[in-house]
Amino acid sequence: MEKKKFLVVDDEPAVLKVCGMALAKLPIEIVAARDKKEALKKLKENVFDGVLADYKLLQHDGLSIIKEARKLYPKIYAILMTGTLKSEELEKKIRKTKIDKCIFKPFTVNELREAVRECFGQ
Amino acid sequence: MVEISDKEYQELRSRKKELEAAESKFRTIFETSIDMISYVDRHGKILDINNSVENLLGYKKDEVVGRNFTELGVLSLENLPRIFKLFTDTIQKGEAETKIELALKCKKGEKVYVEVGTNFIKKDGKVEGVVNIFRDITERKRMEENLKQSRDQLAQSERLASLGRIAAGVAHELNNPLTGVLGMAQLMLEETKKGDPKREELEIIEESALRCKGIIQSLLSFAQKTLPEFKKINLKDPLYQSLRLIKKQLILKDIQVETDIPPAVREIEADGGQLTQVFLNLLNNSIESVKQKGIIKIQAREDRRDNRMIFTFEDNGSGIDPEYLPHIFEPFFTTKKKEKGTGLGLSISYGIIQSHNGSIECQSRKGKGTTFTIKLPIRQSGKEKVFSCG
Repeated sequence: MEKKKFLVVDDEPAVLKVCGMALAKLPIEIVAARDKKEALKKLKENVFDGVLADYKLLQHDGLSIIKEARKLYPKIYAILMTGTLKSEELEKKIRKTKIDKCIFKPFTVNELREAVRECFGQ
Repeated sequence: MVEISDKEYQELRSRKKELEAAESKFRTIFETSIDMISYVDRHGKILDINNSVENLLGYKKDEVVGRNFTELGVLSLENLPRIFKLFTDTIQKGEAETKIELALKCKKGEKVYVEVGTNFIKKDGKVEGVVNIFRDITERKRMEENLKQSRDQLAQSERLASLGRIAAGVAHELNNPLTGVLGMAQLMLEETKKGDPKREELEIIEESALRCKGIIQSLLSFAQKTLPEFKKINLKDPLYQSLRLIKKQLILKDIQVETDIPPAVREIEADGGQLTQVFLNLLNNSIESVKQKGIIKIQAREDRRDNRMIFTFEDNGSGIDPEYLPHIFEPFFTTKKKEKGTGLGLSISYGIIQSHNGSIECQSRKGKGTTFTIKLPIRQSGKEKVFSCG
């Protein structure tokens, strides 16, 4: 099976590391980025099938990265990770940005893999 | 016998008429005054009262006149020294505090709050009696009390909201490193073969991280308030569900639960799951607090005037120290032993009731027991939701 490419954006190195190691067991190639600038650069350098971005980054929010990714790849699968709780404000933003899946930190390795598998219909 | 002339007789008649007219005028003013007026002699014997005394306190003139004011049941024991001082100051010094506030007891037992002003009447340079004017300030007192309660509630809401903001910030910051701890422990567990002694250590890390996750989620629930999903529910459902979940503990301590819920209780718009959580928290606290064979009373009634349901959870447990009472809804505040509670149960319950547009209050007496009162609107206006991701 051809490997799908996934961009993971988080400013926490530990989270990036966990995502990389957990998803390594799936037929997925992971490209990591720690901020929006790096994410946009990687988005232009590679062709992506999915993006997994943290909601609250140091300077930007993950939703703006997902919006940029959608401009380049309209069908890209988008997962948002967040350390916050469900709220009306978050819900509105998720609907507006048409996020496919949202996972709440701290997630288990299986929750993460499940979210990614769902995105690919596996 | 003294003889008087016609002219003198006419003068006396005319002065008598004037006196009668003045007496009639003052009597009319006295009787029609909205304030209660009493006139007592220097020994405290009541000589006269006006009609307002009967209207406000329910005592008729002939029940009161001739008796000493201290004999009547209108003054409570704690008020007696104050009114006595006011009276003696007026008699002895010819001066008194201009106004004092008192609570009087009506004939039927109800309380009436009054403001009292006194003055003396002199005869031949000596104080002959004291006039007391009582103004009914019950309505004002009630409004002041309501205002104070609203202010206290507002102050409490503001304090809890600011605590919530801090808690939310801390919880959010902790979720990131915790993702690393939990994820790494689980990934290492996947790589560790069964029987490897390292597994046990990794499982401890995983378990601890999951416990932290639970605590942080509870804290965030309090801080951010998980959106309730409003549906029409029968209140008995979350109540009996929570009683079912806690049945074992109730049996273990032989606790009697008395429920008083009208058979045709109205459906309310609420999140049944969240209300179960609140009821469980309250029941848990009561179970902790009551001794073997304690009693928990649960009551529900409809408040038709404000279109809401009122619940009370009452126990005869150890009660809460008055100094702790203002803090019980704050996150992490607990008087329980560390292993028995995180101190989040009541703060989460507070958050849930608030997100239902209701209120939760607590009254407690040390050594006697605790009562929680929850007021919930029967209908939620235009609030709904289901949040599907996660």
